[in-house]
Amino acid sequence: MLRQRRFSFTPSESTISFLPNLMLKCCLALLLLSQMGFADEVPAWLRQAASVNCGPIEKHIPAIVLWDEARVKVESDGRIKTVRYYALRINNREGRPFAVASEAYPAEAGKMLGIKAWLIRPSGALLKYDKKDVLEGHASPNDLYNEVMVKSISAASEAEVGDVFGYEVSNEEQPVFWQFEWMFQERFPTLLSRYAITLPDKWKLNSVTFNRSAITPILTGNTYTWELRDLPAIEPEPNSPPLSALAPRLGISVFPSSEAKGNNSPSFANWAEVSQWLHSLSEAQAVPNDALAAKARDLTAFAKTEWERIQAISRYVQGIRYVSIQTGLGRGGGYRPHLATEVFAKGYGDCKDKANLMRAMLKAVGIASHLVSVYSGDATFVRAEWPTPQQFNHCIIAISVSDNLQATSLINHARLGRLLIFDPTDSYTPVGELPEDEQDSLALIVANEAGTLERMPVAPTSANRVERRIEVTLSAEGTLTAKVWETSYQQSAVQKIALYQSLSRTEYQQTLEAMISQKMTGAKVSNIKAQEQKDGSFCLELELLADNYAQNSRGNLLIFKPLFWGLLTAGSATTAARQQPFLLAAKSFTETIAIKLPLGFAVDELLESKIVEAPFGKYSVTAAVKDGRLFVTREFTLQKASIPAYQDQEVTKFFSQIQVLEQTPVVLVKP
Amino acid sequence: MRTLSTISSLCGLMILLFTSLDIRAKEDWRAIDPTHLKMTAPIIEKDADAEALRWEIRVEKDIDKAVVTHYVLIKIFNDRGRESQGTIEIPYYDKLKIKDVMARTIKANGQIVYVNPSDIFDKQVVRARKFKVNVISFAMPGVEPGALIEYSWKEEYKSADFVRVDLQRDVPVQVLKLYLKGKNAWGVNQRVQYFNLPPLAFQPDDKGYLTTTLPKIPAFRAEPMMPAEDFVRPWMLVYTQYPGSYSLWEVLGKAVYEETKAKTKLNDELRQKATELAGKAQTADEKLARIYEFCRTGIRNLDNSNVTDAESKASKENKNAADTLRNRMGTGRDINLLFIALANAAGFDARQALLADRSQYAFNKNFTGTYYMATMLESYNVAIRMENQWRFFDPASTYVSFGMLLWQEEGQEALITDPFQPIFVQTPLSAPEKSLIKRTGTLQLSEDGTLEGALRLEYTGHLAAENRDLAAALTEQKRDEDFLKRIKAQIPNAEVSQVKIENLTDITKPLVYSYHVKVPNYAQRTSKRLIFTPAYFQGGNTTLFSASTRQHPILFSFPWSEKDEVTIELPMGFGLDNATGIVPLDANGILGYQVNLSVTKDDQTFYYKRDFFFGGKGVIAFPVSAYQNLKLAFDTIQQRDNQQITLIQKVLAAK
Repeated sequence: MLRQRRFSFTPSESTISFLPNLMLKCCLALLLLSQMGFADEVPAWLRQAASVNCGPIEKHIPAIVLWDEARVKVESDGRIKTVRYYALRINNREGRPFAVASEAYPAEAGKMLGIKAWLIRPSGALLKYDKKDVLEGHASPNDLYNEVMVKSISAASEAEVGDVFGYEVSNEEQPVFWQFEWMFQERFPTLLSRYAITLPDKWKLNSVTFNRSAITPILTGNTYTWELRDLPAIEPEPNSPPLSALAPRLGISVFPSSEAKGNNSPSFANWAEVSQWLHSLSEAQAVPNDALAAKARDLTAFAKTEWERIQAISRYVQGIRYVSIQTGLGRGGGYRPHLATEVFAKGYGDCKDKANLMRAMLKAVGIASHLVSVYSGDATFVRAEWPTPQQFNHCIIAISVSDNLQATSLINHARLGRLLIFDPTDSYTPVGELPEDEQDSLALIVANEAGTLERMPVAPTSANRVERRIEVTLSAEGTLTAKVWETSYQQSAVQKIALYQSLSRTEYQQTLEAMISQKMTGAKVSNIKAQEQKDGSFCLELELLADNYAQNSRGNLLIFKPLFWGLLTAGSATTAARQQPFLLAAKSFTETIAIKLPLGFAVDELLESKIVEAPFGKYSVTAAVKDGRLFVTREFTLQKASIPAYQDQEVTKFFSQIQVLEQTPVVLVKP
Repeated sequence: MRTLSTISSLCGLMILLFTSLDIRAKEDWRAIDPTHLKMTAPIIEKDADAEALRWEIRVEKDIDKAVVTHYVLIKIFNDRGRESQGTIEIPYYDKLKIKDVMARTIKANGQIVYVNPSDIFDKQVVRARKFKVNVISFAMPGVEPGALIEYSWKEEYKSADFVRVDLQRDVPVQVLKLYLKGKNAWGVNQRVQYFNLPPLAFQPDDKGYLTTTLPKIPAFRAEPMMPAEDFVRPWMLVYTQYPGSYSLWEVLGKAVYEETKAKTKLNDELRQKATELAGKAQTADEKLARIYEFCRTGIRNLDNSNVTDAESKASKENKNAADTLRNRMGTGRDINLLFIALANAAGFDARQALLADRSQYAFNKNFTGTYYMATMLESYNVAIRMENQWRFFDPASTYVSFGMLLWQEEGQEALITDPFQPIFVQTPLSAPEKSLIKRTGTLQLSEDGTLEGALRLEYTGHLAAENRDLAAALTEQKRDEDFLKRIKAQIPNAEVSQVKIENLTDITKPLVYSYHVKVPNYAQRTSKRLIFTPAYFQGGNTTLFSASTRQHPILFSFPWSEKDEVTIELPMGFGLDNATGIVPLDANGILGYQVNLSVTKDDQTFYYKRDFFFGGKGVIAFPVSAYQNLKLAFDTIQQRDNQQITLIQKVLAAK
């Protein structure tokens, strides 16, 4: 699906991140050769932008966006022309890489009419860039093939602090549907952000604003304009919501007049219409042929129950390789899966291909299902008030199931009944569970006119847990030998399964050794047994040997930290003077450790049994000695939560207290 | 996704130009060996995810053209193998064409699935004016564990003095078959140079090729702290040797000498400047150091990252050293030529020295082809004969100290240019004490475990150069932020303030970072004791070698040393509890580690002194066989750095 991308606060999020070093080097080399002279003129808008007094801007902000505008003209034949105007001022040296003009367009459904850029020095000197300075590149480097192309001009090597870089790009395209999106800013402060659309007579539109109060457009003739000014920076903070949940955004739906000719692109007034459109693109793609049906029957030959049939097919489709090939984007190709029979024959496909294949296979064994459009990566991204396919970037499946079936990824649909939601693109999340970033999001069940937007299920915190048991022997010299048994469930298991399956056995052992060596220098790991269970949990057993883990002082004192495996404060980083909410992910953990103490030593100091509590979580640790063994138990539960910025000290305090407890040593003395 | 190439790897940004390709007919396929389908486990490496059963490279080298044909047959054993081998990318550019692409999958049950021409994409990765890079890419269909994937293609080089042939893949190879055919005519011969493998014995076949077989090639896997890939992976160069008995290095050394001589011709200005700089210097070193410092700081170096566009535009091209002196600005090359001229004017014998970057190139002076010529010509170091030995200098590298080179150029064979007999001399590795980090801390430990105080870090040599180079490209604020990140990475709950950076550009003095820190809960508090790690500067360090096994040699960048002195005021009422010393470590003069702990009689002040060096005797490269000892040494040092000191309340201790 084509999504217009712009750059964010850090170069790593920028659209220029798709440019490899080679392209940048090419660009630099060519620009050095190019004839850069003084321009005859600078467009009026850029002159105006460059003359704006930004006022005091904090030194650490790399750049300030002076002007960000898109002007869209809709022709009566259904084509649209867009001109983009953009200018920023470099505020410090880290802002130089952002002096890049970059726009994407779908090669089949449109074309770039022109791209020009300028670099204006504070002295008034000018560098002009045009088509000879253009680099062409691909917008989606992870795809095997994608029609969307990007043209760019980079002034990064010439830009200096204080310079203004501006560009104009014009595109023409046939939209897939009559809906548009505008993001008023990314991370930099933005002095002016404007979106204007001119419609033919009798065409209508409506708009919705996200992440702030509604903006009413100004109507001048047939031109609608939305504008915001003086937007402050949205600085990156650890554990904060994604930019899409913070920056003001606009969704626009256009409705052509009934007299409009030559226009086949749809508009959507409600989610049912979106569902119908997606259904029209996908329904014919899910027809099984004999080979596909035979495979489905073969996979389910020994399945005795509905659940087992679904499991068998889901495992097979999860095993289909993910390869993304995006063609025909102008004709809805980004939303139409390849034929299920084709995906089956080739053994690869993208998310919608895999979900569609699964539909076809389930159909062959008499199980109904529907495609589901979802946004992967931000559970808050999809908003109910804007019905459009544009809000989704991923496709999963909803399977009709009977009342007997129980799982955490079930929903009850008013018309379609009980639906089991499953993501066949996620190779490790088993059927019955949903990947964490899709839980609690709004997703569209594609079921023709019965399709609706539904809230995706959330697994209970207690389901997503890790349980660990450790048996330890500590020698008088300080050597630790341990046996560890760990079982992970739900998404905790998924991460570990992914690690285990993505590495060879040797690499897996090395990875575990590297992780353990962080806390136990020179620790050796052996007898690793790792297994994914049928219920989706993951069991890991291993043995550890760490010389000198406990510090022996003069033979009289032995000091060691009993909580050596997996400190629980990871992911708790914050920043001073926080502005954005602090996001916490749900976790649940229990651990029991039994340590056989060396003969001749007695416990002189034991870690304190304690409970640390906050509205969003609880941590407890208990320690006791019995029969020459030290027993330590810890339990930790964290609820999924969004903590307002003004309460982040509560989060910091919670984790700081836990950190102190986890670092506390035990002291053994020789009486 | 795998990327194959006999040329440098290219990143995969793609613009589509969908063209029809020259796809081979199905009749061109080879017969399938049933034993290959029956294979269930790899032969070369027991946990390999896939194994190349057969790999063929056919090189037909003309004088300035070449055709290279590739064929691969790979067995897939599991899902990881399927993922890593199932998508093929073949980059090409400019004077290279890809032809005759063919690919198919043979499933475990014998069913064959061919790659359709419509599923092979010829995409433009980048286009800028006339320069473009393309990639042929396709996904193998129907790949599953147990399947075979088979593909081949041809590369046609329109212009090639040499062709590089890599002889190792990311999966083990049962058999690699090489075919060579070279056109030898008019005294022009095709030759082969081998890297990281002994010369291969070729035999002629009945089709006019020379062939050889390499069996059981292990998979290549990168490891941390290994030499550049060119030093460890086997590869070969098929190159054209032109007629005439000459040594490339001799020709190059003489030619560069003459060119340098012309550009460093002395005039009155240069002589005068040399005399002025030498001044009343007592020794040759002092004289040279003054000239060096002038060239380093007195001439604006246009290669530096902080040079503005305006400065670049305003600069004039320097035709010779005299111009550079007059204009007071120049490229790095200009600066070194000026240094040569001034040094010669002061009575020294200064020449240009050419050498390759050891972090990237496996330079072999015995190879006389032109492959390394370009990289050698990019370097422009200076060699000066002093007291019957050659010493090396590089004032163009702004942060490199007098008498040192960039670490990438130390320990390398340098070609010393000469009008009659250019020679190779190894550039010395700077001793560990030349690259020293000296850290001091004056701290106070509170009863609640908080540690607070002032810290200072001083860097010299390569350590200083690295930090200066990174810092120069950043704003002041960003430098502070980066420094803060480094501290936080080691001690996450450190509260840092008063960060100051000194001598950023003055390489005659150490680069200094100083700051104030407060670390709550630095010491763990129990009911009776305070337990803390006195090695403050080593806090949060991770082990250098965590893997229990090793495949490749180990190479450190350069020798270095560390000197730490930490003074900690202890809280009242506490005394040491069974404190022990830390055993030193000495590894034959290559590595040394010593820690001294002491406390004042009143138990109020604790002193921690740590001395460490590595790379003594110029040893920074180690064979695989030395890995376990090396790992043990560094693990031991880290364990000793983590040693804790226990303080007990004196009242309780007395009991």
